[in-house]
Amino acid sequence: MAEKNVGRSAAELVTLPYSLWRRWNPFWIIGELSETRFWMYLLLLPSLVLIVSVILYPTINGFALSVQNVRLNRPANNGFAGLNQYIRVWNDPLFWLSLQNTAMWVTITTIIEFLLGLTAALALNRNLPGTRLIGVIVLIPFFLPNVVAGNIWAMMLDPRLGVINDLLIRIGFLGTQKAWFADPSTAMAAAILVESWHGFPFFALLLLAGMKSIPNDLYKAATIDGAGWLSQLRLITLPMLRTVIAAAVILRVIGLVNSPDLLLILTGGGPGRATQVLSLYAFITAYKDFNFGYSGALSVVMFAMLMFFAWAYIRISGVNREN
Amino acid sequence: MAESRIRGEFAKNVLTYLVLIAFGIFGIGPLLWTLLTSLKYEADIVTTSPPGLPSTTRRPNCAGS
Repeated sequence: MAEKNVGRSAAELVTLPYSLWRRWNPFWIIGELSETRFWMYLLLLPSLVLIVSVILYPTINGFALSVQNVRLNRPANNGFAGLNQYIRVWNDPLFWLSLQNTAMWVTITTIIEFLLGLTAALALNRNLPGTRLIGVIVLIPFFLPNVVAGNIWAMMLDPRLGVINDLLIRIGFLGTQKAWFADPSTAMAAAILVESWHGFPFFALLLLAGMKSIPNDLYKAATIDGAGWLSQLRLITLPMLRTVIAAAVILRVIGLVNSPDLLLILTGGGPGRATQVLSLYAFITAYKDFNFGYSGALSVVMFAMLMFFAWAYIRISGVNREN
Repeated sequence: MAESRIRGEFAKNVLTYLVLIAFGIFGIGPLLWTLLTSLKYEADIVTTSPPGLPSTTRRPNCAGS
């Protein structure tokens, strides 16, 4: 080292630590890199790492799971299965029953939630005194976790202790206590009521936000032209809310298809299979039967159906068109 | 003309309040009932009419009572 420094001047030796620090200073390196064309890729790197680890890897892993036999209680048969799981899904009567239940559950719930949300949003949008407080109260159910909402309603609809049965008997609508979730003819309807209570504020919130952005001049002009309340709703409000409605419906449908928690708490898919939806079927297959491969195939099918629904809905509703 | 418009506006406001009150009851009713039930003893839950207030001022499900 001493020999190496023989040729250097004293001034160089004095400034050596500084030049070394400057060479390896991370801020200096970043400054130099920011001048190159790699800078934009470096800035995108954290987002890329996040997307790959949180979205891409689990999705690919799910797809990989669906072409394998993965049964925790029969590990000897585990291995590559090809498309066998999908052929089994196609031939599985429980899958078709669950699909039918899912269609009913999602369609009826979304329609009820939309109508309730639209009514609430129209009333709240009138900005009458005191409506802000009622607006907060109306939104409360949406802030509750599904587990809490499910337990509240399971208690309220309980055949022995439930307040609903008690009130219905008092007003003469029911002769005796009814087990709403134990009767196949009423279990789905009762579950839809609970989900509608829990989910309608979502529509109310989004539609109200959309209504606030509609210029008031349109309504004034329509009033001068003699348009009534219903005509204004049909010709101004709903067309102006088209994009918001499309986004809300797609988000809600995805949420309903993917969440088995409320039905798991209220009915567990029963009685029999009366309320077994696809997400619940996939959950039960994975965590009760420990058949993760088949559950993966069911999940991939659900994923494909949701993608198709979103694509078809956007195309049919025409929200991606100009104007 | 103006009077009928004012009357129509008043009716609309009344209807709006009725709708909002109905939504308010629908939204907060289950939570209030749960709150009342949490203040009751099990015997009260089974025997008294469900919407009723607790028969005692003690709070069986709250800490320190």
